[in-house]
Amino acid sequence: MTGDANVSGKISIRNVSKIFNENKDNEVVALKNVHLDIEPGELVSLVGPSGCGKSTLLRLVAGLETATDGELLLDETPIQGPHYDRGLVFQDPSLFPWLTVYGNVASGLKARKLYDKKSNTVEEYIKMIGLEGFEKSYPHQLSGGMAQRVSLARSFANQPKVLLLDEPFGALDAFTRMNMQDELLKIWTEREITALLVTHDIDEAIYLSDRIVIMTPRPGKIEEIIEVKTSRPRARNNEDFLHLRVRILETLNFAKRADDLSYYL
Amino acid sequence: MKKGVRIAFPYLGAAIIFINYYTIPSLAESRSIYPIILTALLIVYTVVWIASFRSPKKIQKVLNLTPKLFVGALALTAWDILTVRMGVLPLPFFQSFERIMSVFVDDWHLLLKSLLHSLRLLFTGYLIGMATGLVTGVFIGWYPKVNYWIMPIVKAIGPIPATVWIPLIIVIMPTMFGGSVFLIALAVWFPATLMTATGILSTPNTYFEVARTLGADSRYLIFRVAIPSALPSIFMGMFIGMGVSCVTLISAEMLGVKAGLGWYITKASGWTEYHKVYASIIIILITFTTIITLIFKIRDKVLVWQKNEIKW
Repeated sequence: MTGDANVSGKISIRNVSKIFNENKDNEVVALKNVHLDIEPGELVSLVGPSGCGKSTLLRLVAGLETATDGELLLDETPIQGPHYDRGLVFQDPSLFPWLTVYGNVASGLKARKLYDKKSNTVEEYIKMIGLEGFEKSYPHQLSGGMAQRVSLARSFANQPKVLLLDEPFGALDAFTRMNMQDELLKIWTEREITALLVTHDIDEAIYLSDRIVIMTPRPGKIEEIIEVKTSRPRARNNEDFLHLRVRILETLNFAKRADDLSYYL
Repeated sequence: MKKGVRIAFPYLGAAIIFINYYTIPSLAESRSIYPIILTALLIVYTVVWIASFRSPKKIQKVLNLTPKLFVGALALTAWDILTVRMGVLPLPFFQSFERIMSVFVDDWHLLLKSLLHSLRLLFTGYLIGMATGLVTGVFIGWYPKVNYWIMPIVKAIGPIPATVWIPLIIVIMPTMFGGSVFLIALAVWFPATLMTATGILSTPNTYFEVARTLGADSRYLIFRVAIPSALPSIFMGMFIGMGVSCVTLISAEMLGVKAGLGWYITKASGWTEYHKVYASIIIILITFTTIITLIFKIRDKVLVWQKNEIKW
């Protein structure tokens, strides 16, 4: 992280609360006083049991929800509604089924009226995710992993400052998931993009993140932030990895005792 | 069954028809139209059969068809025996196949004129109804307020068969053509509106959310997300609309319009010329089947991205 003025993508979440109220007597406090700063180019994961508000927090940053209280900023500018600066990838690839792979990847550029037939931007992104030759395929012809790659390419084609990922690999099988994690790391390194990842998968969080934000429910809040100092590429089976895993599980009250490492081995 | 036998089925069927035609004496005078039509059909079949040699898939298609053609020939023979050979089915309500075919020779001019008039009426009404239905459907699907105020009207008027308005239309509208166009358009408008609105309302929310994070404005959301997503439903509306507009067209022509196939049927039955009634029914059948097939073909082209469920 240099002090270069061009480096952008700093997310500031300041004392954010989000209350969903179906009616006055039935308020659900999804997030309470959440405070978090994400540096440009950082990859941060949000982990926690369901109901801890991690997806809500992501949707707030995406601009798809508005905070009940507090402020959300991108590069010191308040976040107001969705913007192509903040790309979003869901667990369900949510590709537009009526568009081909090419059409889907091009859709961001077309929506912003920046699409140029002669430029080969779209081809580049299709190549980046390794789907050359599938340009004319429709989503229903793709496997789950391929569809999620297209979904990533569709977001990247907009060159966002921030990439928001909501359990992006949750629906994939274990092997495809590991491949996709490596793929994501590769692209993230190349593009120097800020990434915020919501995941259920503790191993995924440790493998990918610079920092892991552990959240707990009722009301949703940040319990602990753990820095992952291990340099990349990380081994999925070294000791640091396992210690971190125990620590996270402990924070979430899922572990017995930290010194009883053999239990997890 | 052996392929050779299956290929020969239509020839066998034709032979049975010919034997019946030339051996059993007819109660009515013969016009020799039947043998001409039959020979023409046999030539067409032979050409198709030879052309199918190019691909095994096409041969299979022809082979699938031959038992139906054979049974069809048997049915025609039975019809011939029951009517003009034995006189079991009474004249004039039941007419021989040859007599029905003779209408196409004798009265082709008026038939063609009626067909063209019907088509003109049908398409004018259908296109107007489809276009207005699309617009109202999009508005209802997109704006909750329009949904709140307009949907009750759609629900109230929609299920009434358009034909019940005919007595009013005859009085109110200056021309019967305009009145019929209005009726057909009204009949199509209901399913077009409903299916378009349903399609837009059932667009998954994630499509809109993804599009918005990609930088889409509301124009893009309507025309590039909501409408494409609603297209399968819109095509359902087009099919239902075609069905009701055909019914409305023929009814309107039978009750008030002084031209078209519906009028032709009414006129012919008034003169007890039932062979003409049968002939025009055959024309209606061929026309509407062709139109529905065309819409299906267009749908398959437009909706290549979808795994099709309903085949035609």
